[in-house]
Amino acid sequence: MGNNHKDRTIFENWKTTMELALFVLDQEGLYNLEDWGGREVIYDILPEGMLENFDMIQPALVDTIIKEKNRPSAEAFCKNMLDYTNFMLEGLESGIPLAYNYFAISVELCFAMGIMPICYELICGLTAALYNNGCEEGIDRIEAEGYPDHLCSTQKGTAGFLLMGVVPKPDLLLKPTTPCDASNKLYEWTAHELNIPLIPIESPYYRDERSIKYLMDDIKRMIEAMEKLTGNTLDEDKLREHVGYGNETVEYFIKTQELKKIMPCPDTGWHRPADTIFLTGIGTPMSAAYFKNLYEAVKAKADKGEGVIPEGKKEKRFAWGYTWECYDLPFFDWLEEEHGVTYMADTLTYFDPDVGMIDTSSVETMIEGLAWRVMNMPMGRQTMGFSDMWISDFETVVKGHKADALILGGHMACKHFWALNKLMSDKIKEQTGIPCLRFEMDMFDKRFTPPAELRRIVGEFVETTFP
Amino acid sequence: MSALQELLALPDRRDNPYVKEWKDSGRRIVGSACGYVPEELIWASGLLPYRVECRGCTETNLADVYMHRFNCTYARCILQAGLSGEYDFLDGFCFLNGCEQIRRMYEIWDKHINTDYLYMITVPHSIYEGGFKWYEEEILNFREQLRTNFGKRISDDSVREAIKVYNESRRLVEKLYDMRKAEDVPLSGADAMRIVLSAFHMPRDRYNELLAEALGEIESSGEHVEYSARLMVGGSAMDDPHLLEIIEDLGGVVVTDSLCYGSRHFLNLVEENGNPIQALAKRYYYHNPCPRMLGEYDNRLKFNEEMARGADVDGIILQKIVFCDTHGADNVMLTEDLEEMGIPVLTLEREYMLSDIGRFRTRIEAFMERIARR
Repeated sequence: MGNNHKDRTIFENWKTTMELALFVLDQEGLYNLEDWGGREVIYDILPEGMLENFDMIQPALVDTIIKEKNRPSAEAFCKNMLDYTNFMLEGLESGIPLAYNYFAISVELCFAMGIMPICYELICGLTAALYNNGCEEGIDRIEAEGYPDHLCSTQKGTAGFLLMGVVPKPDLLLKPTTPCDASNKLYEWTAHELNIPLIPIESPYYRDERSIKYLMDDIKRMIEAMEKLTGNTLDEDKLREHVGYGNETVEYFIKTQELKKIMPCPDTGWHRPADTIFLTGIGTPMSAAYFKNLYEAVKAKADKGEGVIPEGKKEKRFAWGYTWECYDLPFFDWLEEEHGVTYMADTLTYFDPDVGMIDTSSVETMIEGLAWRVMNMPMGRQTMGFSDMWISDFETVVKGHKADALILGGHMACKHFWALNKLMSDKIKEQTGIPCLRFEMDMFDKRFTPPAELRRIVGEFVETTFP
Repeated sequence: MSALQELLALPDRRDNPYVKEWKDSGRRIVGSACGYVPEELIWASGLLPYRVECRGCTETNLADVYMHRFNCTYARCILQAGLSGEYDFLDGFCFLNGCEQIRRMYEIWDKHINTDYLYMITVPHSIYEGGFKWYEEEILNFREQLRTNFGKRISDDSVREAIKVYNESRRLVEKLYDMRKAEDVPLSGADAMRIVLSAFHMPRDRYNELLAEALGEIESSGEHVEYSARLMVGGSAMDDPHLLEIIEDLGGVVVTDSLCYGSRHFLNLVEENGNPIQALAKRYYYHNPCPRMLGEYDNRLKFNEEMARGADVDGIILQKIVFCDTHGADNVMLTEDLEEMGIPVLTLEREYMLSDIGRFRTRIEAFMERIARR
């Protein structure tokens, strides 16, 4: 079952997948495929044109999202993702300039300048999360050009997809110099290979006033460069509108983050990769709507005192000091069901609760707010400078969310993380006494630590540490 | 011992008489691990700048506790040396956010190695006016930090003097590189590397005296190296002449490089007039860019081509240390473009410590067959 990105773009496939998922979620009483008659029944009822797409989707993912406990948030994800995909496709269709941007950059500025931003990393990430063949075809394609396997799979996947022609070539590239050389290098390759202008945006190492001013100046440089390249200018009202959506996103994100402190945890682990997917769309109404819908779904559970683990199981609350994986989203559901393990936060989905809202009174205040937001975006905040910030954020998570263990599943390409995870585990152990599991994985390439191996590693840790 | 012999011997010595003499006289030493640290400021503070390296490193068992196998062995070997006490003679260490692995070493060093003074200079990842201003401020802050920690005021005049001393090294090293451009190559690449490396580990004024004398010795010796192909070496941090010996044992002669321990460290003079801090910032920020600099690929390609054509090489060996992202990606792009320009390229992957020599020999032999001129 191939991905069949040959005659359709990846974005078109996402659209069909979301339509298909909403169709399945709309079936009354469908909480378990086997009870319902198996996959064959789905084949019988699926609208024409969706069968091939259905075969591309990971079967375990379908089983997970139709579960009763996951349905409200799955619907929120699929509906908003469908809207977001349509939004992208309409943007592409309209012929406005297309920018591929790194996650954690002020894309609100693009919307205010008539530019369609699509996160370079989203292309690989969502494809890995949804499909059987994930992003491996893209990774293999770029590695066949000689690029090292130790570069980041999220850029490798997208770079390969660009070479395969299954995603459109952008008109410009936007890259903050955080978090790593590995990501920088594949943006540089993309610019060189496809002859696309690259706008680097500096990431100051410190968090003082000088750094904010420096980043603000650099954001202004980015605006100037985009104006020069596209001929489009910044529309203040449009910027205000999209910054507003961004504020709403952050507000609901933090509210949900706070709900996870409740015991038993009312929020399921697979939402964390899903959150990151929607954080890449910050500044869109779809992102704001997803986080609002998610908050409402989690709040409803919390209000009823419901958790996400089966009744009778003792909850074990895990903080993921680095990141999730997204090639096997059902893994998080499995942890809940099989081991009673809930998921507090990770580096890609932890917002400092005091990050604040952006003041929309003028372009200047919005640029200042966006600079501060970029410096505090999940992952950007932790990777931009000294490791103390990262470590102290996870001390806060572990203490605030009453975590029972720290999981450091390290993404292979993140060299900076591999040089600090011992410091983090030592510090957190010293401060809180909780155990820590450190292991190797790749966030997107399932071949590195395949799903069964992932389950064995974490499962054995749970069984031996929490007998 | 002649000046030439002294410079050739120093990198392979376990004891460094210059370091010992410097410390015995009560003076202090500050280490650095990246070519973007302006050594002149350290020198102007009456301190000895010392660029760390760990040739001869054979294991990383202590470093592996803090740095994973996905971190390159260059970083792990430096950390290993720090943890095993080999750098106890350092009174300070100036880190830099050169790459992901080196920048994180700062925190590990801070927590687990007892060096009195640690500092971090941060360099922007792209080259533009605002970035220059940031870097200039970083250097000013570094000057202030050195003053506070080591108690010596660093006047503009003392910085100007340091610039003159370091520029003199640059001119002499450039002369060494120029001599190797001749058809009759007067010394091997391995020996040239030994001479260059000595600069990092002795007082620079003394180095200048020795190098000036050594260049005279080389010129008057009339000796030259037999070779079947002229080569350039580039890629990841490389400070081991024994690696070049492997290449040269197979009939090649390394006549130039684009290494950060070689030409990239020494080419480009600092302006000697005007504001000395600004002059240092200009030279270090705008010098031939490291692949960490985003959006500077075309300049790096141009630099590699110019170095190769300037020394009339028959081929280039681009090596990278395993898990070096910056050179790992750059080497692929450079290979494709340099080959298109008609310059043959061999890419090699290696660990920082010497290993897997048999495989190198085989690869290099095959490359030599492709490019040999005689």
